[in-house]
Amino acid sequence: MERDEENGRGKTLRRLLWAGGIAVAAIILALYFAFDPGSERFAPKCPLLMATGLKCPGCGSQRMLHALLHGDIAAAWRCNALLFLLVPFLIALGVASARRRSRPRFYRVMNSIPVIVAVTLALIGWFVLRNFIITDL
Amino acid sequence: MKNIAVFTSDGGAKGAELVRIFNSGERFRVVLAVSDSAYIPLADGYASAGVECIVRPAGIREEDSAELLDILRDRKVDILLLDGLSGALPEPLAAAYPDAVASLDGCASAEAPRMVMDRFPDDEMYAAERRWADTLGLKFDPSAVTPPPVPPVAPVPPVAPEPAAAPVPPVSPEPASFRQPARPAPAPFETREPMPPTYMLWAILSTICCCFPAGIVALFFSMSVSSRYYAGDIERARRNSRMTEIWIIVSVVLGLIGGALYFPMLLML
Repeated sequence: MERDEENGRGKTLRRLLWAGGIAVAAIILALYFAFDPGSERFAPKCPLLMATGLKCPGCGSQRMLHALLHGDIAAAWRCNALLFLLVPFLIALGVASARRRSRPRFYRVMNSIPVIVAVTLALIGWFVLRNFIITDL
Repeated sequence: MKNIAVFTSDGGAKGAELVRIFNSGERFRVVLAVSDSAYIPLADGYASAGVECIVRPAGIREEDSAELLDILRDRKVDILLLDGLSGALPEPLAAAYPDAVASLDGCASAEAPRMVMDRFPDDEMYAAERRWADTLGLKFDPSAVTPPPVPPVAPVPPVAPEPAAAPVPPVSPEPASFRQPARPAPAPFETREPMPPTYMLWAILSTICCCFPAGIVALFFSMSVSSRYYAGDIERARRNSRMTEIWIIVSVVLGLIGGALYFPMLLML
């Protein structure tokens, strides 16, 4: 479905989805602000960690979000260093995705091959680093 | 190769045509032209074709026969061709060339070689055809052989037209084989549609939060969307964009399954 060919119903649906997505994100952020995922039982735990003891690249991301929402930068860095560095990049990526048609060159640069390759290698490298080289990261 | 001496009263354009027709092949060669008329100079036809000419304005008479015979033997003439000779060939000449005199009266120039060949079948001529006939057990009939075509006068070749301007390169050609053939340069970015969505943000999040291996696959497809777009292959890029979507969903689903498997354990701990 191409956006140019959308009819009135499609446009309303898209706007509804956007509004719903933003609402859900707001609820999640509020939850993370209120509760500490490290100590609460209801926060989802990483299945990989429980099954194998290996830490996937996103381990600690919830605690990091909680710390960031409370302004604790040092704790956020300790939770997940790579994600901490990637946050501004992810925000820029979100902006580029939203503005894919109005700013095609920005989107092209953000999604260029060197960028994607670097991110992929960083994720894989972070996984290897955390689990096999410096295990308390 | 048979040498021909043409006896003629007329040496104009027809003579030049005759010489060209005969000499263009490998079987005959016009080596001599004898004319009994001074009115139409032989230079127009035979001489301009490089054939030696003898003019006897008083006519070709019997007294000239001995001299002419010497010349004919000297040139090793095999066939006498009469082309519109107003008088008759002197008797001694005819006697010296029995069965070697042919007349072109009533025969067009183009058919002259055929007529002469029919008249004077060559033992060496059609040698290959005779051998084939012997091999196949058939009787060879020279009159049934198609004569070689008369080569036409080569026309002046036309000037080649200017090549057309190079066409505008198409946007996305279909690759025909596995080894990609050379394709025209992709259109510049300003004219192309924007890059199909790579969903990189979702791919990264699904790698981190949901399922690491499936997320890496989704990231790989994101990269291929980008590379195909830069190469100009919009179709492939769109297809890979769809594959990225699929693998992100796979990653999320696997993450949810994993979480669902362990959630009961969480509650019990």
